[in-house]
Amino acid sequence: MKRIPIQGVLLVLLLIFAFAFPRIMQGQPYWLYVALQSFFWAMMAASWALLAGYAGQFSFAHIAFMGIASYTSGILGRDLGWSPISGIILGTLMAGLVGVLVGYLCLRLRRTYLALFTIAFSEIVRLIINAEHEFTGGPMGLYMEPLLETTSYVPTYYIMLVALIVSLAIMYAIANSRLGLFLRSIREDEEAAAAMGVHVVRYKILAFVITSMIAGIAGALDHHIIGFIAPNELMIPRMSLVIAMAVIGGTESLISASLGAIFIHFAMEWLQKIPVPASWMPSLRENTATLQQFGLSLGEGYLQTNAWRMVLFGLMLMLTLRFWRNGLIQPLLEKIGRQGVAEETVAKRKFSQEENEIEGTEA
Amino acid sequence: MLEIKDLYVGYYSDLNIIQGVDLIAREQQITAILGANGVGKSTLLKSIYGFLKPNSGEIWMGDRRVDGTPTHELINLGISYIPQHTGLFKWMSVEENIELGGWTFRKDKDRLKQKLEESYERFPVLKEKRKQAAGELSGGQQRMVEISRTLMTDPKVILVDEPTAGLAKLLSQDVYDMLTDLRDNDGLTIVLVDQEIRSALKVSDYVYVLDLGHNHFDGPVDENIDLEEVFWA
Amino acid sequence: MDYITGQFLVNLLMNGILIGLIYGLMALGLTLIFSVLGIVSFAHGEFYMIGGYVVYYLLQAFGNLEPMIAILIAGAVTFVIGVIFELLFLQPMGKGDIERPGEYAILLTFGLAFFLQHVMIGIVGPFPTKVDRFYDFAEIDWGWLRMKAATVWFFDMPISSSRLIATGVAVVLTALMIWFMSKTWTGRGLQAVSQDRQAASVVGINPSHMNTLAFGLGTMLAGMSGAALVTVFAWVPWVGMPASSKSFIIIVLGGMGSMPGALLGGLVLGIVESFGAGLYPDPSKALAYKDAFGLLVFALVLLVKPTGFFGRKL
Repeated sequence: MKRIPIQGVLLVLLLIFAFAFPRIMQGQPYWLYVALQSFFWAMMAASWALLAGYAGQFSFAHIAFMGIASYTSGILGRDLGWSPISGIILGTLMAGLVGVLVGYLCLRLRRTYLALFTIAFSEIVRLIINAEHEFTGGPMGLYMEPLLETTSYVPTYYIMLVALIVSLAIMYAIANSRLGLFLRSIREDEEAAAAMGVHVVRYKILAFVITSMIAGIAGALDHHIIGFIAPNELMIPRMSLVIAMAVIGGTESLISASLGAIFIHFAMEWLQKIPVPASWMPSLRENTATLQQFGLSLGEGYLQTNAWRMVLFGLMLMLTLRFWRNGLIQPLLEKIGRQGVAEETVAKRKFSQEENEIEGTEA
Repeated sequence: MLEIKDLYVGYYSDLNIIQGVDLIAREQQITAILGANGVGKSTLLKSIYGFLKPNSGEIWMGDRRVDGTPTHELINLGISYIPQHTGLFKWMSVEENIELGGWTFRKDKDRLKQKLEESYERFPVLKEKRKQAAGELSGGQQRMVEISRTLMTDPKVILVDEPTAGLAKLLSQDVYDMLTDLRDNDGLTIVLVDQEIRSALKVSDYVYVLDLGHNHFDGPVDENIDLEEVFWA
Repeated sequence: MDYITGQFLVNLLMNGILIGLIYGLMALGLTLIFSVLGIVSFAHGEFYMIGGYVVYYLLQAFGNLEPMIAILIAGAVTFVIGVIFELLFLQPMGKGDIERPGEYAILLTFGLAFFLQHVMIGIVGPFPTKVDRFYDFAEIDWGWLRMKAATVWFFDMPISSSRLIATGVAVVLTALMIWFMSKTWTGRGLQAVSQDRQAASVVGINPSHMNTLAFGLGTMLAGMSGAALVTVFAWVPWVGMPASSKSFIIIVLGGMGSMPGALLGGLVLGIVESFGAGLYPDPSKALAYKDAFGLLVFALVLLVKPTGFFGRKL
């Protein structure tokens, strides 16, 4: 019996859908924009999953690398007139360079200490950007040259989509190579890995560099599309969002982490304004004051949820960690992937069971 | 007093280090559990003391079944435990350490005071050092603190895991003397796990030898016991 | 640089000490949690933030409520939230139901921080609130000590009275906490669990109860320091983030799990920040960099000597 790889089919369908999305969404540039933003988050979440889930380096500086690349490119464009493309390339290299430094400094630090150090690093980066306003624009932010001279989101959508696919492909290749194996062995037991001849120093730094560069290119591309960046985007809660996306998707698989990010980003947009049936509107309107006290506001036919959608994701992050350590999307994908295999094993088991029974009667 | 029936224990549910051990610790006797390194002696003690859950089998204390009881409740049943490497609160004073042995009756000030005095009578040197941090004491004195702390609750059975590991020869003898003293004068039942076969046999009344998680030999200890026979039977 | 006089330096030192004592109280909570549960709570600052808001709402609802009572209530509220969280999410770690507990605890408390922050943004919105000082000082003029409602001049060095009150509260609470940990049975039980978990359970202490208690007390201390400081700073839902990083800095400086270390680390951080901001050559950036000085010291300590001043175990 020939097995059809269900996961492969699913992946192809997903890709076709992603490439056809601008056609499907014709006339709705808003959702196209949401989608291309979600690709940025997907790159962030997947690269964090590679660093944390595969290599076990629970770094909280990921968002800082994104910022370093974006600011480098933005400042080069503003002060030296560099084109976005060359700015993005140099920004990405810069993120990689700082990644070497951070990876090197973090060599001896484990878990909690690593987390603390990377938070400190990330905050220092943000505070410096905030303080050096002549150079970075300070809290007011920095305007960045648009990536393309067009108001349509279609080309930028494809740029982000391709960036996501390419970076996922690179990371997938790494995760499934010997390097990925080494990274996992470092995560499971660093001493043992070193004893078996894994060059721990080299691979740990390499993990930092690769993932920092992916965070960097994602950030630089995205902020050239947005045309603006501010130090607020480097704040810790944004890092929490990346973590929530990766964890809810599943940190043990790059595809799951990026799907988690895309899903959550879309969900955040949907949940921003919850449609309310017209019949509820009058009674809701009467209680506008109460609603406002709880941070909800009322629009024409919808309820604005403001911060509460974030509360939902915080809660989801905690519950996912507590009850579904593999995330919500990863087990789903595995289940789909196993369906074909499962039938086969059931058949096999049945066969061997019968065999055993026969043996039993003989003995 | 303490009885173990067909016990299976392991760190994983499908990999047992102790495979069907039976053991009885008789009242007011020292029962030694001997065997080579890695046959599961310490694992056996840990499972009696609730640090490891047995995968199957039973542990009885008198007529009460105690397997599955959380560690911190065992002291109320009269069982105490002295771990292999001292389990003192290193940064607390000697006196605080001994007092903490009376955690279960902490509201009874008179009894606490009386038991503390008893400890100092037993080991006068501890009274001199009562304000010192327990971690600063010598190995032998740390054992004294630990025994004093254990005796606060007047347990009936104590499980002792390699009490002389890492101690000098002379000190070791002191520790064995303390154990016989506890049996003879305080009427305690002691389960002793040991590597020092000769010394342990000198003080114990009954011996079990384990081999790779199984009972290998058991019998009363008397002058005629033949070490060769015990270990190579 | 002619403004740098001897008096200016003493003033910086004094301000550093005043704020450092409060930092010490906050960090005491985090170090207690670490020493008993073996985890660093990344949501520590959020409990500090909640403590402040509890006082704010209480004083808004009951205008003539005694502020000290409000601080106690803030402590009770944060204690209860901490206990509930510990029971729901951290308890399973102790039972061995969780794979890779170290990572779990980091991510989970991180998630809690995110959650609590946005709950408060939802409730109070992103706008800063300010609580008036708890008490007005009497007017006094003794030459070396002059007082007005909002300010005290000690040898002509001005100190805000809100800050002084907050420090007073922190000192009293710190003293109470030290007494509790060293003199009461429960405190000693907590210490025992932190020093040797197995031995503690042998003498009959239930370690999981101590875990819950330690987490609750730790979050309570954070909550009460926030409650004491709510009159000093403008309060926003993300006020807890710098507070968290300050607590991390302090417990790493002082040695993770060490209580004297936390108090000393608090003072060091307070003074470093005060001098850093006061002496930075460009005053327009000094304030923006205030938090960065501590972080820099922190990163260096982590790299060079992760066990801190009083470190005992990792």
